Amino acid sequence: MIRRPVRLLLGLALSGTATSACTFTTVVPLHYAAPAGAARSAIDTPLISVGTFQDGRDASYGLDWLGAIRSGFGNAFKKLRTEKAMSEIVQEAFADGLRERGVYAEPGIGRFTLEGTIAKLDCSEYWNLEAHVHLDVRVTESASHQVLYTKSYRANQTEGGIGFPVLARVETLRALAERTLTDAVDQVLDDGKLREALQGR
Amino acid sequence: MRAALVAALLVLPGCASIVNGTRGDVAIRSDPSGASFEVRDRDGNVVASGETPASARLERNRSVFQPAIYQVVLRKPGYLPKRAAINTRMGAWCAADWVLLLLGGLVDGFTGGCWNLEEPPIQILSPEHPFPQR
Repeated sequence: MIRRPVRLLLGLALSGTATSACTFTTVVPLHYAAPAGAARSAIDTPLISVGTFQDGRDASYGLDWLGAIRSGFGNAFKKLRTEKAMSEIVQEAFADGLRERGVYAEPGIGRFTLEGTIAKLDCSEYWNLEAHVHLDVRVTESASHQVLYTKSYRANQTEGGIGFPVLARVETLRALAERTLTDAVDQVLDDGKLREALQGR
Repeated sequence: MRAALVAALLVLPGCASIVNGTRGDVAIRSDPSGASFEVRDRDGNVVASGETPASARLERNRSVFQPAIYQVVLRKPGYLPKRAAINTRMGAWCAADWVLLLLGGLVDGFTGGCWNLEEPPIQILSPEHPFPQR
């Protein structure tokens, strides 16, 4: 006969092993979402185009990797992938952020080009939900290709979890990733020093 | 032994709610100070407002087993508006509830005591520089 605590431990280990074999992948959208209460610019001035955002993350996860809800052993229980490549999503997020501020210009038209590298962009849920967006951004003068401003921006957000990955909702984690991406884009576009660098050009 | 376990199950449920309470104080600070602020919930409703530095008393959850989601919006004339998230994390008491398989996890998830509200860092406001005009 096996003692009760040992049976309990064996049961937990077996259930953990069973869930580790199950992996569900969900393809999710990810956009720039202008925060509630944000005032949209009244006058549009086509000023800044969005260039390429290179995906500098670990390529082995894939270009559409967003993150995972992890089970007891840390294995990915529910995977999140994006509808498009992450570089395209970040480009669109900046385009939407610039539109919101009334300074978006179609590619090739803007006096300035905003581009960069995605150093980190992912989310995960274990005990808590976490999302991280780290971007290396540079602004160039479109005509001369002269670099006017470079800076690395970091947005990190966490949300308390419920401790049970089986009950965790993909949408909750996706929404956190979206808010964090929006936070990163806002940090860049509302950086007074970046705007100052464009003055007088 | 069994009696002690039953006693623990009866006494410990909700220990995170007892220790933390269902609401938490979060300091809202900015550099420079004197910025007006609004704390908005997930639906965009203003749940606290004032002028920095100040403390906002906020619910830890938005509903049963749902931690609260807040965003602070700061405004000061001559500076760009600034937004910051108030992060939440599962507290140690609640994690212990779950690890020890105590009913307290259910109680704390119900009341919101499960989650800790993290103070956002001091928000540095950028002087307002409009984008150049053509």
